[in-house]
Amino acid sequence: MDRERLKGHLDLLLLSVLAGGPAHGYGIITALRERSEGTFELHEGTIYPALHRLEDAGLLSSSWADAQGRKRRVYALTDKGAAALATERTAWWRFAAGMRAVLGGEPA
Amino acid sequence: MTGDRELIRQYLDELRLSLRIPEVGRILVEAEDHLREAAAAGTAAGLTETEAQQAAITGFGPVRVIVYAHLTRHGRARRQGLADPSFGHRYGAYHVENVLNWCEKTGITHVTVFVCSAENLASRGDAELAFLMQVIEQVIADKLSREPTWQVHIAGALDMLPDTTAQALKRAVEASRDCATGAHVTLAVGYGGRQEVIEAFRSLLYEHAERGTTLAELAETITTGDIARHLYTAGQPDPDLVIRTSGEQRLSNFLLWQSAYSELYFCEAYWPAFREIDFLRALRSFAARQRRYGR
Repeated sequence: MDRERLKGHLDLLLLSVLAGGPAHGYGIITALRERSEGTFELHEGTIYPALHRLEDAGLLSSSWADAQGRKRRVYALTDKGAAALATERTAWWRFAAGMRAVLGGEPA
Repeated sequence: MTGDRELIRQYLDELRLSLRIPEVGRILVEAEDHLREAAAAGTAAGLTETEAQQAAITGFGPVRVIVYAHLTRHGRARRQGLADPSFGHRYGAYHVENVLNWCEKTGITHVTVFVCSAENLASRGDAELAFLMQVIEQVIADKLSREPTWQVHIAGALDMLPDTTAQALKRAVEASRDCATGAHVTLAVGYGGRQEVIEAFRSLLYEHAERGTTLAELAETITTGDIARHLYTAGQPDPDLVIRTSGEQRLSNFLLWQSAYSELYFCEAYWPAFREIDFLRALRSFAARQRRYGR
């Protein structure tokens, strides 16, 4: 999936991955890659500004951890983030169902 | 590990230099953690250390992409009503100095920077505007006042600006008045091209009203030079080249009158991410064109 199309959905993907438990950036990318079976192409570094923005918005919280002598920032979903995820997920499914109904079924 | 094999270190240095702002600490630490871990996964999968570092960097994304994502974080957040856009403004203001340095290096002696439009003043929220004005005062006006190498001019409706900002801009004009380098920078603040032309007309009409010229006489004799004399940029040459950043292909009310015969160059990069290489590309494109001045 191309990067432009992914852009608007990155927040939802990040929240969704973090619903499985706290993780650091690289862990989130790995989970995203595995769960999407490599569908999404993105510059991995761009998830950090997105994570910072979600934290500014109160949807995530983060704290420093130690990883083999390096500092590591670990992100977790807040209550507000969990609520936003639930709302966005519902909205997404409604949107996807509409798209599917119009486009018609699976690709040939 | 040393020398040219330490690609991650080089990447982080480039990222740090490109950001050049106090807020970078966290993203650099996170970038390093990410790249080291990705490189370790690469070597575990059988790549050499250098290959693994290269792959980690490629996956992470080009420095300019990261910088852009970082800088626009607040811009996007603003549209969603989440955060303030201070970051981009401040960096954008610092960036004026970089671009002036590039102009100095290439021997360009007249530059106009579109700092903020008349429409910006009308449409941005109070808090953002207050911040933008503070940035203009602190960064642009201050920097240009200290050891001036550019003579500063202002284009725009100063009376629409807060007093402190107008004062700071006037101080920069005063402080650089005797600048001997022959280089001129015009800051377009609260500027609008149409408004400028109207103001020029108004001023021309008043001038003639005082002299007792009738409207019919003026209508008969008026020339383009009469208008030019009354513009904010009176006495300065028209621009040879107008560079528009941010991927927009419009002039947005910038130097309407003056750009009649200017060459236009459009660049995808946003202003804060506009690099010296983009600047040089614009100059190269300009150099390859044949100027026709409407002929």
